[in-house]
Amino acid sequence: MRMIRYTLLRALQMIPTVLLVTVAVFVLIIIIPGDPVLSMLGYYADDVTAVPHEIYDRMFRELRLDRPIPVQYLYWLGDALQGDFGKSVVFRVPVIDVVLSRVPATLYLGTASLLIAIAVAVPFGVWAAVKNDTWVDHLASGFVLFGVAVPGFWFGMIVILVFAIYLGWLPSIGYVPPQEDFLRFLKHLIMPATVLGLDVAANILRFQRTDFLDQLHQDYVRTARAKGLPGQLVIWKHVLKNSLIATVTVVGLNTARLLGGSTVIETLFSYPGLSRLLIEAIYARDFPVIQAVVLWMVVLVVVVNFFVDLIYAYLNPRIRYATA
Amino acid sequence: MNLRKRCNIVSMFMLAACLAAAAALTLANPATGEAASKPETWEKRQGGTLVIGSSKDMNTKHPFTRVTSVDEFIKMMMWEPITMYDLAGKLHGILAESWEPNADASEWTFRLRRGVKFHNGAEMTSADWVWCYNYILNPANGAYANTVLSDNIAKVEAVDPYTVKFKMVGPRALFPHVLSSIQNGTIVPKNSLGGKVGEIEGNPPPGTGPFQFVNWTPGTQVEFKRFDDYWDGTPYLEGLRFRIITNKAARQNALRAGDVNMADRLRPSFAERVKKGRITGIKTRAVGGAGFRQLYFNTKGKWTSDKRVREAIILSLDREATVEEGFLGVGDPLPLAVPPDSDWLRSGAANLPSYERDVKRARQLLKEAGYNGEPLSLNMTLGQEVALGEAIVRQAAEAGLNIKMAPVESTIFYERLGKGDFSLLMSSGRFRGEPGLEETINYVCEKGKVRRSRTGYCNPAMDALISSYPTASDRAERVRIYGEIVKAVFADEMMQYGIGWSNNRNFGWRDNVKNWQRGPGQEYRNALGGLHRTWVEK
Repeated sequence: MRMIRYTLLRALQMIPTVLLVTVAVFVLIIIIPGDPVLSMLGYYADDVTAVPHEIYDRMFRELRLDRPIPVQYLYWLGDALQGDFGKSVVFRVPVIDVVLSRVPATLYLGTASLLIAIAVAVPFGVWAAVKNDTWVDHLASGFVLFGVAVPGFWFGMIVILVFAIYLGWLPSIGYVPPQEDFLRFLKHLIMPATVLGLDVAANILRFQRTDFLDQLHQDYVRTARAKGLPGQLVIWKHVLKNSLIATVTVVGLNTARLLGGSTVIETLFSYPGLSRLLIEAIYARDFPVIQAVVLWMVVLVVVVNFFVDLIYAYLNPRIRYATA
Repeated sequence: MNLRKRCNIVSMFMLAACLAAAAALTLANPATGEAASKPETWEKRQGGTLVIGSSKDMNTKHPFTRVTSVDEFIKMMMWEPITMYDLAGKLHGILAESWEPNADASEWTFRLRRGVKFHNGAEMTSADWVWCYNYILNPANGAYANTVLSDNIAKVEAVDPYTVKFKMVGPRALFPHVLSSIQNGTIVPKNSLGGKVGEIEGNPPPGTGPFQFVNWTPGTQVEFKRFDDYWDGTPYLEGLRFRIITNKAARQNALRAGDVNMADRLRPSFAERVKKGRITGIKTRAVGGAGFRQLYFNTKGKWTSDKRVREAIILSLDREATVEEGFLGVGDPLPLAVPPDSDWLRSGAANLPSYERDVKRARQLLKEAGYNGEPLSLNMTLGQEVALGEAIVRQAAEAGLNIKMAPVESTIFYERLGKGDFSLLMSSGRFRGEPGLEETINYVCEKGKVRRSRTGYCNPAMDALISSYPTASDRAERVRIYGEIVKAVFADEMMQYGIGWSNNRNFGWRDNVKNWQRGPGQEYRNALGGLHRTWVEK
């Protein structure tokens, strides 16, 4: 019962957060320099005297730019709630189509890199903590140092050089939808997902190792061992669960980051994700696309945080009791 | 053998020779015969999809919106302008077989190329031409070319199905040149555009180009398939795919890995490594005339309105050193945006002072103008121009000038340009055959259809001089007028300073790509060759 109340409370708290964010997104777009009408008409800002006034004014009204800003916001919010973000200024197609065409690629990349990160970081972190101050621990520290210090684009370049150019095993760019050709989909996904995943893994591993080490010195661990519980049971059942609080936070933060796309990796691998779309839209002053992508990213952060809170409550009941 | 018999035999030989010659010409000239007969070489070469790593995407599916460089190059695969230049700078008819003006070039008659088909199978006729130009000339349709073409065309009419007559607003000797771009010269089937300004529902309107539109995933790729009925012969390539790879390193990697067959705008260092044999299996070619960089002064700016300050800035700069540093050793210092060995340069340079660097004189001029280190903004776009900007700022500082670089992305750059919010402006351009036309935007302030002067300069004498350029039928006369413009703009008023050509734009393609010819700029084709004549060796 307390868990349900806690969940509902957290869900309700999301609404004002998202609304505030929509206001911020809308205002930010207004602040960015550039004339959406000229962009829509395919003119540059220095062409303003060349655009027929009649055409300019008509487009100005069609985009509702003649209305007060709060009214513009309400119109935008109303349409957005129905999935209508307008038309892309650059591509002249509905924004929702442009964004949805990029979402699957981003989700695949984000999910794959997250799975790689968790699969590497959690067992390796546990192992390094258990084998504290041995070669395993030093190897983990080296991995963390490498992951944190080496920029993703550099590592990505090296991976491309080795696996795409010298060995010719994997393609250096692009994305193939899984329904089109699953094997090619995997081939295109491996390198960007690994580069991104190992970067995130280094972050997770750092927290996982430290927290696990901390838990190993707690009284309850000593008690469990004194009771004669097998070492593996103590580690995987008792210590792991308690050490996951910080890890869940880091995984949560990274989940939102990964599902929102990674600009550097998407650019390097010419991967058609949301993050690249956002950068292109910003350069082209494609305001409706910017609004939609930023909103997607922000909502993603809010939703992921919601789930992180739920996992916290599951892992540590004191949290839900205190809030409820 | 009597005379009549002899004549018959001679006639038969002549007839046979004529037929043989015609057959040989048919085989040799793809424009007339290849599509129909498809010789053995065509069968061997045809097939495959050429993948191009493109630095930029197509902007719209509309033929009459404003084009930008790569956007236009991609569009040229499906749409074609009426005229086009070859690599030697000669203008050829693409959708027109010939054209002729009346005595004062106030009327132009175009004879259409016969047998040109649109991708929907319909034959191109004068009705399509008339519809397209009436569409552009109607301001309600928001066609970008309206500004330029309404300053040229008063009326367009079909004389017969294959002849079109343009009545001009006055003498316009360069009209065929004006029709050499996609936004000004594309012909699509009549009634194929409508709806809202600049918008297309579904596929773009059919073109006459060598490749047909298949699919466009914005920001990812544009796909074409070959057009079997192309008037200049069926292309060898079955398909053509432009993969949008905005990052230079990623394009280079994709080319090396074989993920693309060809890529544009590669780094000079990459081309150098290919040249030295450190990277194999790839060919590269620098594009001459890709980007000329020059400085413009805001003649309405607080300090740059003073000619002495403008002269001081020019005297503080060393062109050779700027090009060496700014283009990383791959540029040609030149004062004018014209080919180095051309009569344009000879005519222009004859009217230019030497502009030897003279820091002492620059300091003296600044003192006379009362300038005391106040900031001057240099409006420029991000990217390679930053290195040029740094060189300029440093050199000018030695004369006491305080130039502040303002590298911004293009939207802000144009916005500042439109508002006149700059002291100096660094602009790039390419040679399009008629350099006198390029100056209209910078110095003509005529009210009405032509845009206001970018530099803020307004002088009826200058307007008259630049406006006389397109009316001159004789090329030698245009060369002379260009020299006069250069004298007025560069020497008398000191409103412009040419830095030089950047040759750092390189195309690269894998060894198995055969018979490709670039355009005179960075296009994928020219009037005589290009991707429609290219094949991929199996």
